[in-house]
Amino acid sequence: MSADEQVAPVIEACGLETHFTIGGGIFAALAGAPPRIVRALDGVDLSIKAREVVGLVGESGCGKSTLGMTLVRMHEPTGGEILHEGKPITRIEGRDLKAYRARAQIIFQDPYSSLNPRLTVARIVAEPLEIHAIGDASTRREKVRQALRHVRMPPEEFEQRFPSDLSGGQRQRVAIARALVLDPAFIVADEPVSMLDVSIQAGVLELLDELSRKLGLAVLYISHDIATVGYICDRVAVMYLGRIVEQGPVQKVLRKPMHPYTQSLMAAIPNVDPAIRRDRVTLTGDVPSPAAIPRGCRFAPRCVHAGERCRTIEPELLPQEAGHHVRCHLFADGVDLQQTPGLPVTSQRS
Amino acid sequence: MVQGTKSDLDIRLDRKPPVRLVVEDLRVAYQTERGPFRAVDGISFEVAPGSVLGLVGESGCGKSTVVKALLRLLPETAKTSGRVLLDDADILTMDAKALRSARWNKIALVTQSAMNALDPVIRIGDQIVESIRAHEPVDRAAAMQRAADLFALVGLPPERLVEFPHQFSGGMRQRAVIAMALSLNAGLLLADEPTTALDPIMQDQIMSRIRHIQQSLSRSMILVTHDVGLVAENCDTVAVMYAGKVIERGPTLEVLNSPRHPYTMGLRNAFPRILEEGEARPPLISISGGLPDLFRPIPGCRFAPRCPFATSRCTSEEPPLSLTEGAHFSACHYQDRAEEFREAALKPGTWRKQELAS
Repeated sequence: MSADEQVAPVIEACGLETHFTIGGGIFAALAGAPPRIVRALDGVDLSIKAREVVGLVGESGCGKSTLGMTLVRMHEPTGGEILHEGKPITRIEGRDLKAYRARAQIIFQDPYSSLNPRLTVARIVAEPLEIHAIGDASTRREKVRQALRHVRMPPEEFEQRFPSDLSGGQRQRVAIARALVLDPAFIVADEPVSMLDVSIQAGVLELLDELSRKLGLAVLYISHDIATVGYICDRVAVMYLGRIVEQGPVQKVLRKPMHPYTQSLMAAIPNVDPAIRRDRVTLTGDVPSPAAIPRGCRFAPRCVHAGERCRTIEPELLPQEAGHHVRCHLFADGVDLQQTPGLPVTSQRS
Repeated sequence: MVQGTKSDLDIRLDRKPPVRLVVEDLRVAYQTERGPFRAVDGISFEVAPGSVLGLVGESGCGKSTVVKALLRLLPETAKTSGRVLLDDADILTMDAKALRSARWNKIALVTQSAMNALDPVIRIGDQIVESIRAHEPVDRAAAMQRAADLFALVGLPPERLVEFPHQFSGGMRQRAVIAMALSLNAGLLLADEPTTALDPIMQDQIMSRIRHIQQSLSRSMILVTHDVGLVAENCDTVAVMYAGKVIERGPTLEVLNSPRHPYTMGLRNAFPRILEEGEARPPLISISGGLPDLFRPIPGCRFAPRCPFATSRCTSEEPPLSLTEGAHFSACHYQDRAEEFREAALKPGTWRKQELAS
């Protein structure tokens, strides 16, 4: 355990960029229109250690899923580096890439379309072992059973069932078992519970949390449901238009958000206690297109605090206190946003 | 409308009274090859004029079937019985002409998927104008003016009325659908998961707008959702559905803060909230098990197989939805032990008895 503290993070992104080219088709070429570049990830720094669950939140289109998929090399990064246990894997190919993919797994949102309906649970979970040619039939069988036990699905009962016999929560457990069977070091969980009912999602979240600690996994938990992040994550990163605008210990970021964007995001969450009424910050407009990123701070066009500097110079992600980083000019000058009037504070209804 | 000078149309529409809706013993059974599937099995509730009812429950509980039944939008294979009284006129038995005038004029619907609610080949403004002119004798210009006002109300620039649905983002389309639903200022707005597909910020904006309109024009509303937070913020009363039945109903504050049915207790526990700074993470408690088979008649309480407090009485005898105190109804045999249950329900161990089944 103590050795873990010394070694490099399980996964680390340094200035990671993933740009996509759109509109580069033959008609555009004939019309002489230049292809447009969508900067989905535009310089992301993030690291996750063993036994750590990091939350990644933001609005749709901000690049959360692209980051998850780039880290497991499902999308090709166009710039920056990805380090796995200190070694760059940004441009590895062939056998090396296949070996990396056994170490880095991803779980998707929809357990209804991510499992082959014609295979039994045992076959679904065994498939990665076959692809990576690990073990003989009996060791595979044992690994499959072990993975099913990890997700609390007794193999005797579930091995021979088909996905159609399973509930949404059970399907998502099978997807997790399939990710675990290769003994990965890093798992991306991309909205793993957003399709599940509330009464079921708690079980899946708890499982992810437990597995990360028990198996020493580094987990990137991607979600737009910010409340769930507080339950399973150690740290959280907030993304806006392809960049991280704030990151830090989960309770600090959720309860004392510093970046104006995080503050608006937190102020938008309905409170489950009917006796409490929130003050609101109304954020206008949509997230700008990542094909036309504004100059200066990316959030400036929607930010109530934006000044001249915000519209011209992009702020850096700077450390504030105890692991809390914020990308905002206001904090470079030591302005305390918490004290600024008009910002969200939860208040009791009289 | 709020800004500008009011046209005759606006004045006429603003004068529409809010609607009282009374649902009595509504039952819907889908006829299938495997026999009748009892999606909604005898539910009753009331929406007082100008109030908001939250209809909350998980997938498969029948809440969307209820919404469709209220507008008579169910397929022919669905057998419906009971009464749906819209200001004393029964929707389920009215003739086609009366139904046509009730729809959109008295009850408007906002569905979950804005993608499917808009015609992809007609400009959005024209779609709104069409719905206004189908019910009100006004010229195109007056209807278009109203469409522009509605766009402003939901935060869309009126110049985008000439665009087609594919030119709108998901959030904008949802707002356009809301504008259309508000176009005739119907007395009752049915909002079926109106913001589920949207991001938190957009969800918050849209809910604030809907609530503002509902309050300023005193409209009645049913908000169908699985999100306890939305119910807490927007609804006066709430009905919790489970497997085709309302299992608890009453003023929102009471139902959410002192639930009397174990399912509502479990739902509240399972729903994550933003933790206080420095607060230790409470365990997230899931309710293991799944919905009962609605093809077969269920002898006892529907929640009994998943309920940690169930006794033999619960599996054999169905508890009726009965008044507990004030206007708070609950369908549990052990009303008198609600306080004891609430305390036990906070402990994860209570719910762990059949963990593996989930």
